[in-house]
Amino acid sequence: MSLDIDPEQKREELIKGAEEAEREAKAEQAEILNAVKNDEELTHDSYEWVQVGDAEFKVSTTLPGRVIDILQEFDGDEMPPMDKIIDAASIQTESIRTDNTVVSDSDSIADFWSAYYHEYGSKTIDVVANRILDPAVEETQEGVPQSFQGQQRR
Amino acid sequence: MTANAYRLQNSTTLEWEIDGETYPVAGVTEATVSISSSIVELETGDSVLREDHYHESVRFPVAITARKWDHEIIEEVLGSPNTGAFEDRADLPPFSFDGTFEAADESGESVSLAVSDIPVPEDLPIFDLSLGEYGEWTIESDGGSLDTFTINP
Repeated sequence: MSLDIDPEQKREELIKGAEEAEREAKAEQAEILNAVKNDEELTHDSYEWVQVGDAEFKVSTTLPGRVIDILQEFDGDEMPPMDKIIDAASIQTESIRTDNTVVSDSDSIADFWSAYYHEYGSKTIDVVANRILDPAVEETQEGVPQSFQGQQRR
Repeated sequence: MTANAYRLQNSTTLEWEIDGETYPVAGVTEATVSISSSIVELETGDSVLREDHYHESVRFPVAITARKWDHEIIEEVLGSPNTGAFEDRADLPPFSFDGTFEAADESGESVSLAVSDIPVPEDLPIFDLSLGEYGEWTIESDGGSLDTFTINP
């Protein structure tokens, strides 16, 4: 078999097409997610301020699936690895403010948690991260009927 | 033996090798290869070939999301729909692909690798995919063979 094509050109076309398809798929997904968020009965975005020293953390009171996965993966006696705790705390933190500073972009928030860990170590960050996660964990537990025990993801 | 997952960093193509020529078949935006071996303990700049480290039969799980398929090449390989050639999948050449990957364990390790001998699944709607403008199809294969594995600086 001999195809009269330029493999390099074809490769570029396919990659470009695949990336365009991925962008379209993500845009469709985002549109559906936004449409679902308009349901009045469901709460998707709610926050609470948590005081840590002289700083205030605006934290989500809902648990996204990626945080639930982290919590369930290490449910029980095993302590999650520090990078997982940092991930969960970063996801839950919407913004951090002091008298003079407000940080609200995700990169800066993740940088803060990493720096905090490097400065003060695992024991301190575990306590603070738990305080950050508590509002969402409590809200989630209150929202689940006793009759529904859930099923741990494997 | 530990398994390390590597995720594709940049888009690449699934390819068919036919009569010594390599043809891109589909554009791929996501792929993960799970590699189980002491190969992950190699150092930066090391490059190995399958024959040096693995028995030929060792295969690695791969997950590939291909989103854009090439109608021209698929029709050339599979024949025209009118001939019924699309029903016969037994002789389809296996896929291969290569690219730059990043370790999924957040170590930041970057590798270049090439995987071949990925069988075309029986249930792959390959003709339908190639006719559509876009088509998403994910291979959850039990294996491909690792041809090259290079740890990037």
